[in-house]
Amino acid sequence: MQEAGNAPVQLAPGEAIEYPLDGTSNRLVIQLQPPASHRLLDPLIYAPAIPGVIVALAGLAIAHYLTKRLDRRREANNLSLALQKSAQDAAKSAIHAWGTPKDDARQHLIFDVKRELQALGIAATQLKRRTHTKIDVVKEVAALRTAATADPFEDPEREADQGPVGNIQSALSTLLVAITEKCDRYYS
Amino acid sequence: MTTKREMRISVARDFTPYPGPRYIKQGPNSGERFRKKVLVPALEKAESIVVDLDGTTGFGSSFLDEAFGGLISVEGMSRAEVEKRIRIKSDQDATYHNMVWEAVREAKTLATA
Repeated sequence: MQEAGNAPVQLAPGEAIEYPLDGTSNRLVIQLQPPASHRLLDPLIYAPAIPGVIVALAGLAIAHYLTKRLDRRREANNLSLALQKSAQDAAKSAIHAWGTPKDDARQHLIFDVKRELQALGIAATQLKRRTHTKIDVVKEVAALRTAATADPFEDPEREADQGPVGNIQSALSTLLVAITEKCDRYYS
Repeated sequence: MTTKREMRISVARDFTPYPGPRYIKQGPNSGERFRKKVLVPALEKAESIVVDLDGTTGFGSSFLDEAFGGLISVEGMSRAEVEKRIRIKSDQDATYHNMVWEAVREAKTLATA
């Protein structure tokens, strides 16, 4: 630090002078700051902010990751709920078709059951892919289709039959339990 | 007769988008008809076939059982030969893949039927 006298004093940026000289009271310290233009170009001026920037970027990255994860889980949850509803609808249609006497209308019911079961299979396949096979109920859906469309389901000569209802309900129950358990494991 | 190395069959394109029951006598577009009119001729022409199950309105288990299990129980092919020469493509509904191979596994060979 330089001391101010009568002679003009030149200060370089960052240097300081102290006034008055006796140092007893009302001391005034004058320090020149570097020119603003230089300050902006000096990387060291930003050094104190770097930890804050890193923390902010890390926070953004974590928030982005968590949001993505939440979106994926929400999507998987919606798919699993849709899957449960489709399974119940398909099983109900199959039981209705089994219990319908032989006539032209039954062929339409059979067609609808196969279409609904395929929609269920497509939903199960999508859920399996989107959860990276963590929610995989493909085998259980195949079992429900087997129970629902086993012989003589499509035989035009068969009578109305409630016999397969137990098998269909059992396969449906197994499927619903599998969806619930695998979803719980996936979300936990 | 020259044989192709691989042939691709689409049920929806080469047979019907509306698969029917098990047997020909039960109605149109049956699994039995698919096996006789499409599957077996394709296996005679090619070393291996890819059967695409996408694009139909839906299969019943009896259609798949008769079409693919029937290769063993009716046509006399061995299980190993069926597994070696047939590939199933079912991108939309993967459950069909399970059902076809279960039908092949469960099929009784002509000797044991």
